[in-house]
Amino acid sequence: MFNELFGPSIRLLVLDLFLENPESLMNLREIARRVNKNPGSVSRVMPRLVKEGFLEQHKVGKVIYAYRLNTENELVKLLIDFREKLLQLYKSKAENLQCHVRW
Amino acid sequence: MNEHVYEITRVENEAWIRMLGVGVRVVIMRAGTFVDLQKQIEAIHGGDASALFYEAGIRAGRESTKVLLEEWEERGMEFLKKWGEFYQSAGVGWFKIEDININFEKEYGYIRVKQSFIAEGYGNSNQPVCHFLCGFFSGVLQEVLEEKLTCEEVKCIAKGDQYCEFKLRKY
Repeated sequence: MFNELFGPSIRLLVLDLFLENPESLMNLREIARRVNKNPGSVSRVMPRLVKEGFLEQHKVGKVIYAYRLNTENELVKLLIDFREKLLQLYKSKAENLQCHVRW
Repeated sequence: MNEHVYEITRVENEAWIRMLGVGVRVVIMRAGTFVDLQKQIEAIHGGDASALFYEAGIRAGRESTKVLLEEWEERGMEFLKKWGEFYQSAGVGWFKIEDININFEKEYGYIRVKQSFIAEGYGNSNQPVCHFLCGFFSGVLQEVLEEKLTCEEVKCIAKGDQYCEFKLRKY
């Protein structure tokens, strides 16, 4: 959603994925698969997302990290709220459009 | 290496020059122009610029390799040997291959290059800078090996290393 609004950007694609799946813990390969990008591209945007506090990084293997949305971060809470409101706005717009078409 | 491959020709009434051996349109660009482009995009997009150049490199690697695979009709390591000669400093001039080691069984490999046109033009950096080449190698080898590969530059001349080293892994 944010990628469509403010992108295109691989960083926003990844952020969107985590905002849509706030409970999921995903490693780099899984993230890359789900955003349909090469893991090498995704690995380049992860440090900033972690550094800025959007994502938590967990070590799950010798050199493997997994990531989860940092739902404790105030900015992330705002983004979740903003995303919900945007979804409602899109939904009502779509419904209005359907009404107009029927009429 | 067949010198014919490097020859370029101009076609009357066309702004193009063509690389004879592969028949495609090529442009000549000062290496510094590419580096300036990269630095300017980094200034606008910050760290995300590396992902952009990496993605562009993958596409460039895949598309150019499709042309060369069709033209040369060689495959596997034979293709890579010829490909390395084609891109070395005496050829197209992007880099000079020092070593290619692809271990098909252990599913990883590395490419070491000297004279990367990006690293040499970039100046000092505390991190690798050859993002385009990194993606490019990934794209080339994905086409040659028909595998999904990711690439990481672990050494870079711009960082003060002796050569640029690109580590490739299947995913």
